Amino acid sequence: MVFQLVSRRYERGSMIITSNKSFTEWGGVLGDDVLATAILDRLLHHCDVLSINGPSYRLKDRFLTPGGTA
Amino acid sequence: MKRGVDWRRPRERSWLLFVTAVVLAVLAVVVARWRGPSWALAAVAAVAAAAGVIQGRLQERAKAEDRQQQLLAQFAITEGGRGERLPLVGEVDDPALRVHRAQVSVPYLRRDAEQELVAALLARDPVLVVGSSMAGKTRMAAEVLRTCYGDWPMLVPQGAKALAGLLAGGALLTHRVPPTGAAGLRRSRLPTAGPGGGEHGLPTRLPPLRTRQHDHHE
Repeated sequence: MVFQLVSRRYERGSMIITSNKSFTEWGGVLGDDVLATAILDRLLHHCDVLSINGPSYRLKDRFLTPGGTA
Repeated sequence: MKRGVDWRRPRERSWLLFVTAVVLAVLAVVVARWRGPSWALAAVAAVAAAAGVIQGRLQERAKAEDRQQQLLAQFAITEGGRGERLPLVGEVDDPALRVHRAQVSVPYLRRDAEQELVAALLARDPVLVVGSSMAGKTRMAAEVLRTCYGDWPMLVPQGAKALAGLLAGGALLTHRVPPTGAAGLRRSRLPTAGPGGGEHGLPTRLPPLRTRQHDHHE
């Protein structure tokens, strides 16, 4: 399903995908290494990879609230 | 509130096609009974032929749009659940945009990567947002969508099978989809957003996908 979607949208328009898995783990998530490679191949061809790291924003705000347990 | 006539809606479109057919019939009668100069007859015949071609194109387009609307009404979540229209991006809540519920409701903090995300969308590039769990990846994407595409209709499949149905029917392939009616998508323009701050046409949007990770959290 994901492959079909990515494949059909390939070079047609924008698309946002969020993931907390590294590329090497995509095969395990999708259940097929070959399929994951094909998806990544299409995605990464023109893709902008944005990396967001750091502590959880939810927890960060939780700790900033007066009643928060920091 | 008075609404303008939208010829792309099924009912109005049917009338338009009907009127076109009547005009064609009248032209055919005129041509059959014509007693004037031959050049005028040729002109009328040319107009009738052109109108016939246009009528055929309109009919084909109408059928394609009807098929698309049936697909979307069948497989997509629509406002009110009666297939009247797709919800707007600005109307859908975080769960519909696949943002995990936080234990504590917190206001959104803008991310530095937002500008890059907007720029990539303007360039029609795919964007892969990666990062640790709970870093705010999906929330950022949702907020950018709300900011930049708040007035766009949102296509949310009713489930994995619905997404398969939409894919099989080609609903996600076309860049032109009806603006109103049972389930239309409208090409729009961005409000001033992104580094350029100008307006840019954008391709058809896509629905958010329910990921395995999301199911795991749910």
